[in-house]
Amino acid sequence: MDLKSLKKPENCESLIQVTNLKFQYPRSTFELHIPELQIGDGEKVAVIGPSGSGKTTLLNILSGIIVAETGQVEFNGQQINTMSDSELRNLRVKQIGFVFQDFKLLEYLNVYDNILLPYRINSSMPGVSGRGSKARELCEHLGVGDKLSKYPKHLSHGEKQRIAISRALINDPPLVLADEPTGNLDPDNKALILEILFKMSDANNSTLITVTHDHELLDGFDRIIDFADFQKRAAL
Amino acid sequence: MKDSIYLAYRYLTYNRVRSLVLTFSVAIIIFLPVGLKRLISESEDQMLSRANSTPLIAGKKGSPTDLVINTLYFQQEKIETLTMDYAAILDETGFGYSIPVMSSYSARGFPIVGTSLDYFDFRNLSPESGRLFGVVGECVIGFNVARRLDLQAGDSLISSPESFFDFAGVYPLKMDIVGVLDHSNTPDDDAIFVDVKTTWIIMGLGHGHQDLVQVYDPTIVLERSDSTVTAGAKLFMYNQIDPENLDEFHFHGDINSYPITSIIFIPENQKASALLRGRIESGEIDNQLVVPTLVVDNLLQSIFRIKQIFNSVFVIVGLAVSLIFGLVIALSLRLRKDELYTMFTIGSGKRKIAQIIGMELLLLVVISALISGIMYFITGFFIDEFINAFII
Repeated sequence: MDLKSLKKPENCESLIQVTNLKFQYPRSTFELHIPELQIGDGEKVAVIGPSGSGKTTLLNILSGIIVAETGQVEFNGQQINTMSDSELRNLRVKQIGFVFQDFKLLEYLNVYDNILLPYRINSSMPGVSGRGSKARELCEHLGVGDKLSKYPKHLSHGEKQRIAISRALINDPPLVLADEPTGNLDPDNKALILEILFKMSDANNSTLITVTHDHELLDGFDRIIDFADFQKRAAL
Repeated sequence: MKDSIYLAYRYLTYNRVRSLVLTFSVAIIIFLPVGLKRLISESEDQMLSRANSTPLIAGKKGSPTDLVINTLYFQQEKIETLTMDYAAILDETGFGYSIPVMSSYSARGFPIVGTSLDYFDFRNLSPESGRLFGVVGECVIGFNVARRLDLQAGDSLISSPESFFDFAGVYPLKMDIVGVLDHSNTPDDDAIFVDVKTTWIIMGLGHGHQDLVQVYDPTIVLERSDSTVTAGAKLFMYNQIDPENLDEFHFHGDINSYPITSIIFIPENQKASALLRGRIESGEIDNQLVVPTLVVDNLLQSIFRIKQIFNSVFVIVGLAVSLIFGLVIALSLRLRKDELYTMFTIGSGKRKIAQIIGMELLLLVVISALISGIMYFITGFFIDEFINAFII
């Protein structure tokens, strides 16, 4: 584990390549500047750092929610900066799975429908028919197979996060972005959720980028990017 | 599109209380003006058809509207009466024939209409069961009276006393029901028809009692002479007319001076009608002869003005409800900002999100329209009763 490295390991293909990225929010003095960042295929990367250091902004840039003014962001060899809105939407729904700190499950959909949501909100996705068995399989695998007909309000936080992970993985994306996925969980569930993310990442050979404040849970990651350190480097 | 409908449906059913309140608010706003339009239109049709089928009505001078409403719809508002001989006077003109109407009393909430048998021919009314009345004391009841009071030919019906505390006033008369009229979908369905003489008996102008020639009890017969017998309050008065006591019923005085509320006059032709109206308007002082169509037309003009006021009110209420609807949606979108951003993050386009929200609104409006359509449909079943109960 190389705490300070911003380059991918020699032995894996590059999934994400960031070069000379600069981003600043309107009316803000904070500027995110990443001279170079590589993340390899199948890597499990933790992003740590103080609040406001730009960790979530990085995830938003990597997923095309925010488009950086300068620099290059490549995903699987494709330039994200130059993609149209519709291309960015398709990239997110097909190639990226999202896991959030507060789960972001839709309260009016049951577990089954929440997991299949990506298939319903983007017309470029195939229909939901035939995806039910995958949703059931994921839920069984994550230990929430008996919750398919339940609504989020009837689930514990740990169960909600497992459902959110199922939603993120329903279409086998090559990249999973997890923003503080353990932030709302008790210590037992924190370890369990990370274990699940690692296992699923291994099983699908997907890249996992996790923003976290839980330094005691960093052991399982292949690489840790510390934004505090990174900021210092950027400032040099 | 299918997915947008599905998500919209899920959202609406999950928030069912909010959805129901919005749906019914919109449904009522759609239904009210349409329903009122139908109600007024049906009322106009029914009122005009009843008025059009009644050529002329004679009555005591006063409000022509009250006279027409009392004669056509048997409303129990007290109107001044004219005397029975006026019917004979009209008949003697040779312009047509008259039908007396006496509508001042009721039985169990339904008007008792004293008239002649000509009334049934004139209105094309025939009994569904039984027969028309033949003698005093018999009555034939309308279709709705029979249905609501669960009565049939062979039963009896007692006229309502005017006041429970007026012992000297109108005594209840037990009337034999001899027939039930066919359903006509007119105010005749809600009336009890008797011979006009029966209404005079109800009034107390005619009565039946023990034969005083045969009674010698001094507590009953107070004074006896060759020509008159004076009886006291102990004298037994009949409250039902049957074959045994029919001959004991009699009227005091000249029945031509007895009251009727109005006369329906059927002229031979339009010329006869015009001539009679001219003669009455130029010579008659106490009585009036009105054309019901003209009176009802005037009444409908007033209703039309009220309808216009209602329409304006509905527009304002509709605008207010639309604003509240918009506010509820705007607040709801603000509350759902996080949810919509989640959809955007995981790959939904803004257009798709707008489509889902639009579908929710469309479903609400379509369901509201359906509900108001059902309300409109159901209104059709009760509109006649509603018109008879509240409008006419």
